[in-house]
Amino acid sequence: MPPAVECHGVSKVFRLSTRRPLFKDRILSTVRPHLREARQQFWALRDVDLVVEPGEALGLIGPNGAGKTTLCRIIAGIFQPTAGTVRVRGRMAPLLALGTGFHEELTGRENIYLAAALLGFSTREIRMVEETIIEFSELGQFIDTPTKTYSAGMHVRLGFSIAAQLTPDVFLLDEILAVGDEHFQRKSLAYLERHRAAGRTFVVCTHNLSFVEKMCDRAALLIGGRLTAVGLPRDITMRYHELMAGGG
Amino acid sequence: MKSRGTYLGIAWTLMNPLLTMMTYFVVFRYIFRVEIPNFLAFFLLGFLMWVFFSRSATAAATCIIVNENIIKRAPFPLEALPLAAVLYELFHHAVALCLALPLMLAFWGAQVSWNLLWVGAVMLAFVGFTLAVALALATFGVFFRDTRDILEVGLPILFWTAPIFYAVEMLPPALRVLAIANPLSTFIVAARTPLLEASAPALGDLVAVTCWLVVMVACGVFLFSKYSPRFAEEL
Repeated sequence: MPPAVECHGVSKVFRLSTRRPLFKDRILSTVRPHLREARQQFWALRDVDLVVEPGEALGLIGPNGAGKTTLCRIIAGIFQPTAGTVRVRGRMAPLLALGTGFHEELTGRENIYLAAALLGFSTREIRMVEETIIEFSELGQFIDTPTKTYSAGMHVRLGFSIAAQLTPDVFLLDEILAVGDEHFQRKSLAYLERHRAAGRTFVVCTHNLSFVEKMCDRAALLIGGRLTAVGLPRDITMRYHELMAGGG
Repeated sequence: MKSRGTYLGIAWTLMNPLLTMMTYFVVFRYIFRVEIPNFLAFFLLGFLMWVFFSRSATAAATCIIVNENIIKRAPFPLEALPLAAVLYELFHHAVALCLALPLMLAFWGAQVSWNLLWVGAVMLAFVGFTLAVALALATFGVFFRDTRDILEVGLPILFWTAPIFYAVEMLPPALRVLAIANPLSTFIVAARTPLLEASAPALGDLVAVTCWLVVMVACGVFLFSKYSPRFAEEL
């Protein structure tokens, strides 16, 4: 079987600007190129090669600012890579910083439809799992109130429930494992475990190293935008520990 | 979605132009005394088109920015946002036209004839033009936050240079250039002629309508497809 996720030579450059240019700056910099302030470049990712096989769970770890979220967004198709190619086979549910992607004036139920539609699911498919989502989220009567009245915990519970019930081929999770209280966390981990067993592919960005060791088949270490090591979770987390201890 | 949390809800979107329209009508009929036959139908058509255009433009300019939340979290075709903004306004525009047209035909001097089909054709072109403008404005809105301020000044200029409350012929020759250069004038005149005079629009107007449509669609689609992949990171 061809890989579920393939990244070849993926690089991403951001231009840093201290302030957002106003119209006059753009005009000026076109008319007078020598006045153009040199915008600093920042390589968020440099030449990342990563292949995830179908049914595999890959943990992506690394310090803050290493490029984990950028890589997730590129795999999700939200950012375009500056160089390199990304290919995802099958339907993907990106769960990037959950729960904040809701339209706050809409009710929880309406947000289920909005979120799922954005992930590319049809109204019919959503209707089939709507009740399961609501049940899983344990929101009960609050499902028909606007999400602006929700607590942070309710937001993430609903967000997680939506993604978990839509059964995509590839789960792309960015730092969303520790959602909700103890009870909900255990429930969602059990749920992910079941999806794992059912042969779905996972790409998980996290700081939770014990999760990576327990749940993932492989781990990848991202430091300063470069993929420094890929291998067995225990080896990679060890390496990460060493680097953090040594480099400060 | 916009009307959530208000008491009159969707009624506001119809009441607002209705009340504005009445104000303008009183001002121009009884204070400035514009002498145009069938003045009510004359200005109403142009005014409704104007409301549709200006609201679409305003909504499109911010539609990407205000949805930053979902754009950064889910990959979806971004043209859905300006499209939805325009379709929302189009719905109200269609409702308003469906209410106004029978009244114009029955009481306000509009002519029933096959030429009414021209009104429909020009309206379709106008919707296409507005969509293209929306795509362009949505793109500008991301890269220049001044777009909203520019619109706030630019839209009234477009409004007053378009022959909504006056006829182009009433302008002194020097100002006529301004009215002719305004794309809205072209569409409004082309839609108004078949409605009020029961004749096909002038050939020149039809050519101008087609040109505006083609040029704007080309620009809008080009800008949006070129720059929309960068929206997520510019927000």
